[in-house]
Parts: sequence; structure tokens; C-alpha cells
Amino acid sequence: MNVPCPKCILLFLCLIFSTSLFAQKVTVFGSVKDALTGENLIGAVVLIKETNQAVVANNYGFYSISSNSGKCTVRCSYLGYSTFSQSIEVGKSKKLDIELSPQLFSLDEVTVQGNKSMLNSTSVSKNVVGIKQIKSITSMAGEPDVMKSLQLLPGVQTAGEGSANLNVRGGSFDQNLIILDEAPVYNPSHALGFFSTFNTDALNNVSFYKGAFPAQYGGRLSSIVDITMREGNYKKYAANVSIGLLASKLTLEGPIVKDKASFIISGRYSYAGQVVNLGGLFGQEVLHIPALNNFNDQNKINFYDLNAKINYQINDKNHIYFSTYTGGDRFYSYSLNNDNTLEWGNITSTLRWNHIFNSSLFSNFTGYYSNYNYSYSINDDLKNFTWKSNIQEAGLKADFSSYMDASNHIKFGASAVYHYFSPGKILPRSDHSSVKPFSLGTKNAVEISAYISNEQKISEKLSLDYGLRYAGFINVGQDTVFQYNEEKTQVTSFKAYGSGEIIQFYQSLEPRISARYLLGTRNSIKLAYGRTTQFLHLLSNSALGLPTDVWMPPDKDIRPQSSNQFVLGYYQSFSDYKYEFTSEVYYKTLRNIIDFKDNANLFLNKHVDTQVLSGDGYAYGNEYMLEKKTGNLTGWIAYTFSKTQYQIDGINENRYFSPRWDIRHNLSITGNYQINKRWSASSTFKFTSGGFVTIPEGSFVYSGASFNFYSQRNGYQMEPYHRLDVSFTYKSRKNDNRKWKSEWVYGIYNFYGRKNIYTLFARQEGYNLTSGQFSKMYLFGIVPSITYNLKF
Amino acid sequence: MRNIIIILISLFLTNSCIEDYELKLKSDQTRLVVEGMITNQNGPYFIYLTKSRLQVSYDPYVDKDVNANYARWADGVEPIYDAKVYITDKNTSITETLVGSWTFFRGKSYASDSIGYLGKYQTKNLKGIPGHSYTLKISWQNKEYHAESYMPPVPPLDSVQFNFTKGAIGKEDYNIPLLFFKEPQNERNYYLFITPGNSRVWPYSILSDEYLNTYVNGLDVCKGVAPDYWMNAYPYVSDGKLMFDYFIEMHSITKEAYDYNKALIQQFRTDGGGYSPSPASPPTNLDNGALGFFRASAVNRVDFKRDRNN
Repeated sequence: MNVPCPKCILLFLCLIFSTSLFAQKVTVFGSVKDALTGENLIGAVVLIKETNQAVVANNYGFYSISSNSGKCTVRCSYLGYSTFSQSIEVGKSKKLDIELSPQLFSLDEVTVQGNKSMLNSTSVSKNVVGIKQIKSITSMAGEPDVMKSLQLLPGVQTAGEGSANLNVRGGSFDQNLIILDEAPVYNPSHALGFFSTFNTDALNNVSFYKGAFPAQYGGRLSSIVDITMREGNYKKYAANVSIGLLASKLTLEGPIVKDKASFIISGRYSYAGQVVNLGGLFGQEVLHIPALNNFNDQNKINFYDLNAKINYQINDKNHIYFSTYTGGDRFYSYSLNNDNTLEWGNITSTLRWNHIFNSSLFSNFTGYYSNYNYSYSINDDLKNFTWKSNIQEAGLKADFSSYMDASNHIKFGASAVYHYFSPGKILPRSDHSSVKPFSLGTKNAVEISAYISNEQKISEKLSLDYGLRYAGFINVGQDTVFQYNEEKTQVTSFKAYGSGEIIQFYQSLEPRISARYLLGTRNSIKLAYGRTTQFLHLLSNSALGLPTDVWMPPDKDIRPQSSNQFVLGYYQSFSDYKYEFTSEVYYKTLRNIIDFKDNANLFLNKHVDTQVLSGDGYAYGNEYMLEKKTGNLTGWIAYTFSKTQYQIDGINENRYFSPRWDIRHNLSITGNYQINKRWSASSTFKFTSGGFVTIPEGSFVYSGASFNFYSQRNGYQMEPYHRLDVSFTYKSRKNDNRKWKSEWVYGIYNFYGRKNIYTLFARQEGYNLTSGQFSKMYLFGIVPSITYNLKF
Repeated sequence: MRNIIIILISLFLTNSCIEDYELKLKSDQTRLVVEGMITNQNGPYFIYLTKSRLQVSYDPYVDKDVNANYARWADGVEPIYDAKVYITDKNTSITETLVGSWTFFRGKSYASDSIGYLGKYQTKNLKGIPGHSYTLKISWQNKEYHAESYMPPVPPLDSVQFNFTKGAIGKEDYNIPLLFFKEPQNERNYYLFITPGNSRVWPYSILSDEYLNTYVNGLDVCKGVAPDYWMNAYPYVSDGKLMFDYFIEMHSITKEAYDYNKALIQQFRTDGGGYSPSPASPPTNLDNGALGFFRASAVNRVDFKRDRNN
């Protein structure tokens, strides 16, 4: 017998091995959708039982998972839905579109994988809040609110009650990137912050990142609020009506081509001004409340928002979406003898194209436009004019997601955005106006970015997500740039740039890395680091934010801000994954944060750079959260201890000081209990330390009136804030027998009527100008509300 | 204004309220407060020196110090007797030492060493001339304080017309004075308008010419400012006739004086609450920690007598 040559045997063995390896790698991919409506289930977990390999459906409901064996049992789970399980035979790749059926009642039965998401994933400081959850959280005047729900999460503070803005881990409220279907929304507040601009009836999912965010996100220092809209029911027409005390909503949706194309339109309108007028008149005429003696009923406080979306699945590999949001506010107060009207609004539009190259390469191309404009009109005053400001943005983005193999998931992409700023102009309102038109020069800029990241499974216990983001910002003309002397009191020179000419180029490299180590099946530990840069600044001369705050690009004096953040976290699940415990410790540095010098003049100031001071800061804290996501009782307890300090030369005699949102202790407890088929109850309790405010050192009399003088910035801590909200929802008995469903929501905001200090302020005494007085104002007593919801 | 908006929203939301807040201030250091003005009208010119107060809320019925050796209990302001005050005209290099002057309080006059004294020092020979610069020097308690001010010229007032306005229900009718004058365009000018006030309205208004046209065509600039936002300093009218004597003084001021008065007016309007900028001390032109302001202004004055045939 001839023995074949040893080299040949080796070659043959290699071939067998290699071909067997290649032959055995299979990919299962597709979409995860709601069986009743066809909506994407973002974040659904898809698992192959044989390999225990799991992936998470992306923002478009797409998943791709590979396995070594051709025989796969695919399981898919998502909170609130029955688990899906199917055994299939896979050749090389197979498209498996999964539909999950919603569970009618929240059962205690839970799938292991569905609730393990935070534990398992390499993401740190991330919260995914479901829209159903947001709707069940009690809210003021019965309006469920995305931003107010985020304010109940650990690490999130607000500088004051009644604000829709977020202060995340010591950052100011302009350091949050809020995107709605990939387009940024610049002002998420309606009515000065009592409501946010997001209509929960039109939304699908909210993902919130508080630090060391993945490389695909950037442009802001403190947080990313990624909000996706719903697509619209693909299977049948549906309508949802909600009538409340201060606002009403209507949502219409349905298929254009069944299972292929759908639309959704959702609108909300608030008549708060009319309600205030009626309430005030009632109080004045009927109840004779003395404080309302000078009440005038000509107030106009209104806002609206409209979300519209249309999408079309062209074929198996291509899907296009077009969504748009428009919202506006009007604030008109007649009580002053002049008419003052504040108006502002956002418009965003996005066109997106999903393209599935093959079983493991998903891509999305986006073109978007965002416009935020705001104006302020005064007539009947010595300055009879309208002040307007505007910021616009148009961008193109390409994002790719490559599920390379069972151990590597590579994401990469790039974007180019054009920015336009009109920082302010005034126009006279009539021929008799003494004011001549004036405009601050407009500014233009181009922002580019590129990123690449890989989520890699190193071993059974250790996974890494590492990435790099590059960001560049180019100021382009036409513009005039001024140079100032060191004290910033005089212009020393200026240079004019032509249209399109490059003025300045900034760039940054931002590494992001996080590691997750599984200690067991029920607990894990994570470590993360991220560097972020923010080019845009918001010039806001108030802690709570006003619609007249101005967005500005960077320049020599107002440089790009940057932040480094370190996070260490521990995650544990209890009692069969019903409870999830998260604890994180963070340390964050902030560079080039801005504030204003004393008595700054921001109004139409061509040299606003001379009013701005910049410096550095740091923030650190511990956050804890215990969450129960299933069962009759759901909700969470969140506690944060944090400290933030800023140091800016020219403020507080160059010493460290607390910004107003340096809130040391923050406790939020929120829960929803399903009592029976008809009734459910919901409650929220919030307790925070008082914020820091500036109080006078003393007073003096000048020209017959009293005035205060100050030395320390934010040296005084106010009393703690706490309140309890309660609400009950009743689903009508007649719902069982008819096509349309109705429910009543009864709520009480600030149940025990605590007079939480909204602001402390100093004023001269009305009847004696040489006497000063110091007062506190509290905003809410007990606020009851009733809302009626109808669903078709 | 922000405050008003918030009050309005919360009016519906009921029970929102403003209450006194007991604030314990930590400092025990008083500071020198200077209020002084030189004009191109006939002298004497006065500099008032007082001490700052250690509190913000001051209730004359509660906080008055009955043992105090001064009669101005109503505002708790202690005058300064023992300072030395000098004013120099930089263009002529003449320095004048000011003397303590007689003051009137509640119909009686008091010498500088008596309890009714307001802390008033006056000039004897000095005459203010537009275009000159003046410096102030004060010696008090082993410290020296200085300030300097230029006196800008003031354009003549062509005319004042009254715009009759009906008052709100239960309130008096009033006239809104509209000013007509030619505004020099080739330079940046600032003005301060003073009218008679009352205990509820601070009758000082400021104007910058930044957005003004060449001819100012009826500018309403004498409203004043008050803690009660609906109050104004316009003269009351009854049956179409002025009820009280009224005057308008138009003072030219420097940019520093404009910024200072702007900060004072801000303290009436904004409150240091969450929707306002962080409060700050008004930017004085005095050094060494003194408060207040020293200015030199040229003045136009128009008088209107009340109609005595009422």
C-alpha cells in the first residue's frame, strides 16, 4: 500500500478543516416587528439557543446573527410581548422576519434574555425608556412627557421646577443632543418648559445615553436623547384622541399598502392661555381673590406640534422613510401695558433609506433639515420692534453596521452638516418706530464627522466596545472677525472674509471604549471611558433657559468645549431577572465651558465675545437604580449623589463655584400598579437637595431707591425639594363590547401641596422704594387634572 | 417680564404664591456709598455719602434703630459725617474741597453735625462745563476712594408733546410725554431722563442712541420703573389738565453711567430667579470697594406747571 506524502495529507486536512469552517458559518437576519401593527421593535433581543449567542435589533428593527451550525432554534423576546421561538435549517443565510404578539396583561412570566439587556450589553450609562412606561408615569396636567420622565432617571437634574431641560451629570442644558428620527431638535420646551415638544402618541422608543456614549454619537458633551417615531400601523387604520385640561391630541395612522407602506400623523394643540384667562376671570369675578385684582384676560399662551411620517418598503433590501415635525409656541401677556409677544418654533424633516447589502451588512443613509427660529416683539414701547433669531442645519449621514461574525460587530459611518446661524436682528414694527433695522452678521459653518467602532466578544465573560470618532468644524465666511485687547474692552483689529472663505478649522479625536465583564449569569461589571467635543455653544443668560437663548458657533474667544468621562458600573438582576439593579460611579472633566461676566449685555451685541468668560469644571457622582419591569407592579427607584464645580476667571473672584444645577442628593421613585382589568394607579415621589443661588451681601440706597450688591456667586443653598404625584386610570367597562376603547385619567400633581421654592428674588418694596424685600415664589399648590383618551 | 409669564401660567394652576423669605446675611462689613453729580447748571453741586446696610429686607417699622443718632429711620441709611471730599476739574486743574451742607428733613433744617444730617457735601465755586472731565477723591476712615467722569454735551430738546392716555379702570388718566430732538449721529451718546417721581415709581429712564434715527420723532422715554410693573411716572391728568407740577430733565451721560443705571433698572425688573441672569453688583466707577456712582452731565430741563384753574 502506498502511503500518501505527508505534505499532501497536511494540505488535505487543512482543506477539510477550512471548508468545513466555511461551510458551517450561517447567518440569520431580518426584522423584528409587532404582529398587530407592524411597528419595529427596537431593542428586541434575538438569540440562537444552540450557541447562546444574542444580538439586539437596531433602530430600524434589523438584526443579524451568525451561528456555526445549520440547525438553529431562533428565539426572540421583548418586554410586553410573548416570546417567539422557531427552529430552522439554514443553508448559508436565511432571512427570518419575526413578528411578536403583544401580551395583553403584564405577566410575571418573563424570558431570561429579554431582561438581561443592560447586564449583557457593553453599553454604560444607558437607559431605554419605553413609550408605554412614559405614558404611565404621572405628569402635570395629565400630559405624559418624555423629558419629564427622563428627569426621574439617576444622574439627571433640573435647575428648577417646571422646566423640560435636563442637566445630566453636571452639564448645562445645552449639552444634550436631542434627535427625533436623526434630526436634532434645538428647543425641546413648550410654554417655557412646562411641557416638552414630544407628543408621546407618535413615538416608538427613547434611548438615553448619559456618558461615554458609543462612537456613532457626538457633538454634545453630556447626553444623547435618541427618539424614534413610530411608523404607523401597517395592518389597519387606527385613531387616538386625547382631551385634557391644557392640551388635546389627535393621532391618525394606517396602511397605504398593507404590510408595505404606512403613514402616521399626530397633532397636539394647547389652549393653556384660554384656560388661564377663564381661570383668572373666575378667580377675579366669582371668588374675588385679591391677588387677581389687576388680572387681564387677554393672554395668549398657545402651542401646537405636528408629527407626520410616511414610509415604504420597496423590496426585501430597501426601505425608505420620510418624517417631519413642526411645532410652535406663542406667548402673549397683556398684563404689561405694552404688548410683548414671544414666538418660537422648530421644524425638522428627515428622509432615510435603509439598504441591506447582504445578510450581515446593514446600512442607513439620512438626509435631514432642522430649523429653529424665535422672535420677540414689542410694540407700544420706546423700542417698537421685533427681534428675531434663527438657526438652521442641513445634514447628510451614512451609517453602516456589519455583523462580521459571532464575535465582532463593526459599525462605521460619516456625516457632513451645514450650519447657518442668524444670531439676531431687529426690524421696526411701524413707520413711526424710532428704531432703525439692524442685523448681527449671519454665520456659516460646516461640521464633518467619521467614526468606526467594534463590539467584540473576547471571551465568554469579557466583551469590549471600542471606537474612535473624528469631528471637524469649519467656520466659513461671509463674516467679519474682530480681535480684542486683553481686557476685552476694545476692538484692536478686524478681518473680513468673503463668502465660502475658510475662517477657522477645529478638529477633535474622540476615543470611546467600554468593557463588560460577566461575573456570573446574573451580574456584571463595566468600565468605560469617553471623550466628547461640542462645537456649538448656547448663550443663555439664565439657569432655566429661555426661548431667546442664542446658539453660536465657536470662535477664538468662545472655543469648542470638551469633556472626558470615566464610568465604573456594577449591574445585577434579582429574582429571575424581574428586578434589575444598576450602580454607576462617574468622574467627568469639562473644558471651555462658558458663562457671562457680571451685568453682561447680550442684546444684539456685535461683540458678544467681550461678554463671555470661559473656564473649566469637574463633576463626579454615584448613581443607583433598582428597576422592576414586569408584573402588576412596575417602576423604579433612583438615587444620585453628585457634585459639580466650575472655575471661571472673572466670576466669584476666580474661586470654584456651584452652578445652579449642582444638586447634591436626588431621589426619584416612580411606580405603576395594575389593580385589576379596569383600574391602574401610578405614583411618583421626588426628593432633591436645594440648588445654589446668588444672594446679596447687603443693600444701599441710591437716588431714593434700594439696591443690592453681591460678592459670591451661587453661595447659598436653598431648601430641599420634594413632591408626590398620584394618578388613577380607569378603562371603561364598555370597552369589551365595542371597537373603540376609552379611558379616564385622574391625577393630582403635588399631592400634599408642598410649597417648593421656585425662585428666590429681591425686589424693592412697592410702596416704599428705599425698602428692599426678599421673597420666595412657589409655583404649584395642588394641581388636579382630568384627561379623557379614546382609541379607535 | 419672565416673572409675569410664570405667574400667569401658575394662576390657572392655582395657589402659586409669593411669600416673604427670611434671609440671614453673613457679612458684617459696611461699605461706603457715594452718590454725586456735577451738571452744567448753576451750583452748588452735591455729593451724598452714606453707609451700606447689612440687610436686604428693611421694614421701617421693625428695623429702625431708635438709638441711632440720625433721623433717617425710614430707610435705615446711616450718613457719613467725617469724610473729606475733593473735586478736581482736570481741564483747569482746580481742586475744590467740599463742605458739609445744611439739609432739610421733615421740614426742619439740620447742620452737618446734627441728627437730621443726610451725609451731604457741597461745592462753592465750581461750575460744570460740558467737555470737561472731573475727578472725585474721598478720604474716610484711613482709606481713599477715587472716581472720574467726563461731562458729555447734550443736544437741545426741540419740543415735548403730550399724548393723552386713559388710565385703567379705577386709575387716573395720564399724559405720555413724547420728546422731539435731533440726535448727533457721528458719535455714541447716552442719556438719562429724570422726572418727578413718587414713593412707588423710580423716575429715572435711560436711552442709548444705538438704534435711533437722526431725528427723534416723539420718543416715549419718561416712563420710569417700579416694582409694581403696572405703575409709571407719567403725570396725572384730570379733565385734560395736569394735576401736579411736572418737569423733564434730559441729562447727557457717559457709557459707564449708562451701564450703571441700566444695572439699577435691571434690579427693578429682573429678580435673580431661574429665568434671570445671575444678579451682580451694579458696575460702579469708584474704586476700593465703594458703591454708588459719580457722574458729570449736561442738562436740559423743561417745566410744566399744574393747571391752577382746576
